[in-house]
Parts: sequence; structure tokens; C-alpha cells
Amino acid sequence: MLFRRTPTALPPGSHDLAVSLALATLPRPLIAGLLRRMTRALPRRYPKLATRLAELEGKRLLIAPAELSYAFLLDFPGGKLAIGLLDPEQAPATDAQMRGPLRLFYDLVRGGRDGDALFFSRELAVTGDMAAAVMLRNAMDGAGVDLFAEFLDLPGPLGPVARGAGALADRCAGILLAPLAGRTARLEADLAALRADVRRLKETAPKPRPKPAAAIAAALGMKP
Amino acid sequence: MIPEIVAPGGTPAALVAAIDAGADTVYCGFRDATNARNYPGLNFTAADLQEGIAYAHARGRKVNVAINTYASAGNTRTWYDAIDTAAALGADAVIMADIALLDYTARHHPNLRRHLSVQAGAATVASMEYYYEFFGISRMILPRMFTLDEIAELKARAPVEIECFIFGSLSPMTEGRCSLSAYATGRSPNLCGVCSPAEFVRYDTVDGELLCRLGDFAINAFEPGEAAGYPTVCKGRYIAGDADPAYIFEEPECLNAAEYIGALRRAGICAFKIEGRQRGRFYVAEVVSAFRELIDAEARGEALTHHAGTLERLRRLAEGGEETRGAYRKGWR
Repeated sequence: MLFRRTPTALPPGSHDLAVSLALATLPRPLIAGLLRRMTRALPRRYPKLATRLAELEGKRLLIAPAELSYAFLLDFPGGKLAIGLLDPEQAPATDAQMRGPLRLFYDLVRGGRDGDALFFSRELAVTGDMAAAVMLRNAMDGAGVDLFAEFLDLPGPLGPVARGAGALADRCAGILLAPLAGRTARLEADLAALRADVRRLKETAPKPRPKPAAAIAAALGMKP
Repeated sequence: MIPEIVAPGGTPAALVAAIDAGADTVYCGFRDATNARNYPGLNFTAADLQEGIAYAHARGRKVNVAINTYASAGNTRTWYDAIDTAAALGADAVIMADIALLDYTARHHPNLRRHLSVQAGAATVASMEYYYEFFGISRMILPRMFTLDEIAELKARAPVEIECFIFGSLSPMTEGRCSLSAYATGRSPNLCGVCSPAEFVRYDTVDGELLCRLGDFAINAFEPGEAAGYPTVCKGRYIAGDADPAYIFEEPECLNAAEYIGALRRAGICAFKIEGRQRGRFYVAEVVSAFRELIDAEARGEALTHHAGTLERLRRLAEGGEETRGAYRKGWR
């Protein structure tokens, strides 16, 4: 019953399960090999990416998804992206560090969510050289690169391993999550209506003024 | 007439996302100090722009090029070259603030539409007439400082088209004249095209709070779980004397004037501008598609209260998670 095909296809966003499963279960050397193949193919598939990444030459960035036992080390020799795996506890000095749930990085990389909004909401933590982090985001986003799609679409003998894990994950997710998705959508709609009500109420209430500094108050002859 | 949506295209992918989401026009800039969003990794080479214009024109849309910083003394060539390139590639308009650039364009490319940037800070009918008579501007982008009533009055007397901001980050109402970033970092949006440059930004966790700094200045500290913001100087939370920390200049809010779409259209606004060339392609696609839905709905006579889900999508993209109606409704007066 569990492995029965779902009657309707899941939306493309569910591929994060495929990637999560592949990244969490495949042996680390296999993932490192897949990443090497993927990054080698990028300049051919996105010829303008190197121009945008060239400014990052000499920088090293750490991406540490919370659920994984390893982190990704990104560097940019000659404007080409290289991704290595390492233990986050033994990471070398890096220029910028990004930490958050794997799902978030998945959405971010494939342009499915707004990086600024994720950062403002505190879901994504960025420390270190902000210019390097911003440049990486803008370069990848600006070239329209979807690294996870590249990962799942790898040609050769290793690609089917990742895709197979993904297909299984999609089927499981369809059975487990489809009923929840409908309920979540209804709850989100209710929440949106409530927020709109609260906002209207807030707007009709006068805004408190910030307390003036005592020195300014005294200079203006105001009573504190 | 339904006002056009003028969407931000910080990168080639964002331009495509904006067009696909229903933008009528995309505005973008070159990868240098000639435009006011000169951030790392953003913007267009000449080849990128050529492709972007071809993509837009093939779909009946337009591309405007922002050359809206002030040329540095003794180095106007970079700015003139940007104008020549935009003209040669078939841009539909150039957006400018500097009178030297307006003059150059009027003389060398008289058929290229000239839009007056918000950076010019033109805030009176007299200033609009000046730019129209001397430099032949076709359109001006209104500084974010007018009420709805003032906009209607301006439009009735303006000799040019008027475009106004509908969504996005806000700056203090002294556009083109703000020196806060220059004071803190030596670089300003007016001359260098960048406000509060990322290379001066640092985020650190101190005693459980997220402390953000710009150069030597602490700009804000956020408690765990509190929505954070980019350390733009005007949106910092400061301690003045012995008062509690407060947003002295501006709160980190996002302009959302969706509820004024009808009022602005009736006032004669020809275009709604969305801020955010520094944001990613997801943001652009989300905001443009939301406003495409809302503007078309308003034109059909539908109430926007029937589009609560779309308004909520916009709120999620707001800087600091908070929205404001900006100066369109000046509650503090």
C-alpha cells in the first residue's frame, strides 16, 4: 500500500525530498563525485556564469544545512564553481558562512523562495563577508542556475541513482503528504484573512511616537 | 487605460521572470556605477542587455535602462558610453537624474525617450516643467513623498507622463540627496550607485542577539526570532540620549500601495513601478504576478478584498515583514 503510485503527480517543489534523500543517504564519496561531475558541466551549460563568479575568485564560502552530517565548501578557481564536502566541526576558515534547514537551501538555489525574505525572517543565518554571500546569490540567481535540477539530471551511470531515490521519495510523499497539503492550504487562507483584519485594526490605531532623548527634551523645554 | 507595470530586472534571469510574470516594462542597469543598484553580482553587460531587449521586444514588452547616478567630475565618459550603448541596443527609454546626462541624451539621441529618475528629487510643478522644457523628458518618476491628493493635483498640471512606486523598499524622502551611506562608508547611491554597501556589512550573534553593523556603526540588534533587516543607515534602531532604542529615521517597512491602485489610476498615473533590482528572481516573479492580478482586477471593477491571498503573498516578501502605505496617506500630519 505504501509504495502504490499516487493518482496525481506531485508539484515540482517536492523534488526537495528527492534531493534530501539522496544527500542524506548516499555515501559521501558518491555525493562528492556527483558534485564534481555537476560543477564540471556548469560552464558548458551556463557560459555566462564564469563572468559573474570570477569576482569571487579567492573566496571560500561554507554552506551548512542543519540536517546533514557534512557541509559544503564552495570555492571559485578561475571563475569556476567547485564544491567540496567536509565535517562542519572541522571546517577551515571561510569568508562567509550560511546555515539553515536543507529545504531552505533547496528553495533558494532553485529560485523557489526569496533569499532576502528568508534572511529577514531569520530562517537563513549568514555570517562573515556579506559581499561574498550576496555576490554568490546574485550570480547563481542571475544566471538562472538550478543546482539541484543539475544534480538530478546528471548524465552517466550516477544520475539514475539520484533520480531513483527521488522517484521513490516522490511516491512516498504523495501518499503521506497530499492530505496534509490540502489542510495546510485551508489554514493558510484563514491565517491570511486574520492577518488582514489585524493589519486593518493596527492601521486605525494611532502609532506611539518614540520617546525623545532627555537632552533634546530639555533643549526644547519639554518635560521628560 | 490600465497603467503599465514597470518591474525590476537586477539580473538577466530576473528580467525574464518579470516578463513571464506579466510585466509591461522591465528596468535594469549596467554593471558599474552608472546605476543606483551597483551591488555585487548584479546587473547587465552589453551582451546581457541585448539578449534581454530581444526577449522583451519579441513579447511586445519594453526595457528601460537606469543610468541614474550622478556622473563623477572629470569622468563623464563612462556615463555617456552607457547612454550610447543603451541607445545602440534599442532600449525603449533611459532613466536619468543628472542634467549633464539628460542634456547629452537630448543632443545625441533625441529619439530615445528620457525618463526623469526619482533620484532627481523633482518635487514641484516648476521643476517638472524645467526638465521638460530643457531636456524634453517624456515621463517623470515621482519621489515617494506625495499624498494621493497631491499626486492628482500634480498630474493635472504636469506636461509629462507620471510613474509612481507601488511596492518595495522605501528610502528617506530626500531622494538623490541622502548622504547617510556616504557618511558611514564613503560610498553613496547618488555617486557610486550603492547604499550601505555589502562589503561593509557584518552580522554577528552577541549575547543571543543578532547584531548588525555597517562599517564602524552598530545599526541594529534583533532578539531571537525577531524579523531582521539589512543595515541600511536610515533604517537603523538607535539610542538617542537616554531614550529607548528607536527607529529614528525610518522603520524597516516595505511600501505596499496596492489598495491605492484605483485612486492612482484615476489620478492619471501611467505606470506603477516596483522597487527591488537587488532582490532575486523569485521576488520579482511573485510581486509582478501579484500586481498583474490586482491591477487587472481593479480595471474590471473588482474589490481587492476578494484577493486576500495575493495581498498575503506580498506581505511575506516585505522587508522586515512589515508594510506601510508610505506618504500616500500621511497619518502623521
